[in-house]
Amino acid sequence: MEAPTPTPELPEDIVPDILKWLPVKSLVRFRCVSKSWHSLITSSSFIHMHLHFNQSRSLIILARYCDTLLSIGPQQQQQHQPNFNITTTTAVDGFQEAVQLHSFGLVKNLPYYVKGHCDGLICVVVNDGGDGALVLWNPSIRQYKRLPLPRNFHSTREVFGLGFDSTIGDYKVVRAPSSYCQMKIKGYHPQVEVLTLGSNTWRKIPDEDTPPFCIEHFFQATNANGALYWLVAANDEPFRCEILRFDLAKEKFKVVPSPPDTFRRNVSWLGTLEGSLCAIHTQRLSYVDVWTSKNDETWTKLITIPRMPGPEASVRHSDYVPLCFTSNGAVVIGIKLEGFATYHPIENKVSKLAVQGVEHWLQETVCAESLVSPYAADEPAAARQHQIRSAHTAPRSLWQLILGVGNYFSCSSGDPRQ
Amino acid sequence: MKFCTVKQYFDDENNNNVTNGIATTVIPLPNKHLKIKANNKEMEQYEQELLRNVMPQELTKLILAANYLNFKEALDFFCRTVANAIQNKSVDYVRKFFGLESDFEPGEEEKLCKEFAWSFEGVDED
Repeated sequence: MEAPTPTPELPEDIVPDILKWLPVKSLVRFRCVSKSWHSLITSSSFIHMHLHFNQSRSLIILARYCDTLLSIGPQQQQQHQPNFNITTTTAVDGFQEAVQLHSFGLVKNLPYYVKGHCDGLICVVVNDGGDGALVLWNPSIRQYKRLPLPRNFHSTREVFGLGFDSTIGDYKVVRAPSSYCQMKIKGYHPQVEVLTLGSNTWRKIPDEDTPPFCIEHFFQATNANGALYWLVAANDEPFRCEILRFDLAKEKFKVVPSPPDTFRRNVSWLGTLEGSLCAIHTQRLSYVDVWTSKNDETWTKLITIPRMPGPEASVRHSDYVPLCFTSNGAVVIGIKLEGFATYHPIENKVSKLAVQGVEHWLQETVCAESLVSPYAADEPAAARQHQIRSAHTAPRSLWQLILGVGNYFSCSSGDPRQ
Repeated sequence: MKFCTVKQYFDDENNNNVTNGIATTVIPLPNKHLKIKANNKEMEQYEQELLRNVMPQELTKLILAANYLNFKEALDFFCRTVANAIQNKSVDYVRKFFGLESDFEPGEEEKLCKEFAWSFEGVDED
């Protein structure tokens, strides 16, 4: 199309209705169109409107061992629903290829964990060989910010969650008691602290509100229903699991009932699908029930996924992790050590999904593509990012050298849970 | 409700917001929309046809018409069409499209472009 001749100016209230359809990359670029467009695109109201309007466009982020993260998706914005007569789906729009996220180079050759995520912001803890780093990162807008560390920070062994408190309109990072620290660190005192993005300082919650539970540091916090959820070991029965909920607004913990199971299995996975809290019990049988709850009280079966038949299925038993729904109603499944699959409920069939560029990964995080900035509204982003990079390169390169040598001698499926 | 607004438009002689040409595109839309509601693939084809046959600036007029007629489905449809048309375009193209001018301070715009250089990769040539 040739550059058009000038057109009648549209009323300002219609411009957001056009811009909300655009992907993040276009919107970031269009901030340069004019001051009013810049104002609009960086406004909290537009950012949240765009986020909720594009809720179904998921990004699958894969964390790898001492390597940059990978991103799959988001799926193309489909205008139509393809019919379900396709029998074997080997590719799902937008999920065919994984992209290396080089812009978050902070994690290259360093151990790290994704601790939680919310509205396209991901909370990562990196073990940089020094004090460690607690970072908020939005892969869609390629911006990250190092948060101030809480006292007695035990780096990757800590437990964090990230959520949005709608009563104050700000994001909260929550530090929760860690099982590893409780068991291995002398004098560890489990405490719960909260940092709001706007305040940028840690604040303890009252001791009486500290839950009598500890959480494994390799679990990601699940964010749904205005709360953070984690799986914890029950105090009364040694091998039973409970679901612990932290209300982001009230800053209080409680245990929520787990979905029922005829075999009385524990919940082994918590996550979200279509914005609702979901849970799966320990997987052993030929199908996987995914339960969902919108109110923390009643659970309903969202979907039952049959496990793929075949000789590998019984030998290498990897859990199925439901990642997201596609625009044609299929659910994308991650299977560690095997790859990806899709399940079409209508055909009732699981098919392998070919995704180029992925071999192994440690954690999967399904987040939204969003414009949400890790910086508080009045912080100049660019200046901060420059400061961060120049201040921390020296100790990192020594650690990189040590790890590089270590990697050469260790096996490829090294367990970072040391 | 749609028909009342349309009737009012035709009776209102002082209306300069919408030309007759536009009205003929917008008004047939409710019928077409209802007819092909079940098959969204045809809507996509209609959108492609629209983009081919209608000049970009006409699209903004369509939006204004749909907005004036309080016709939400048409407004959503045209907004989405415009969004698809500008998605991969340059900043200059978008300015011309909407009749906007850069009002940044000297150097401000360069700073922004530099900070988000990655968002300018792979953009269509003007």
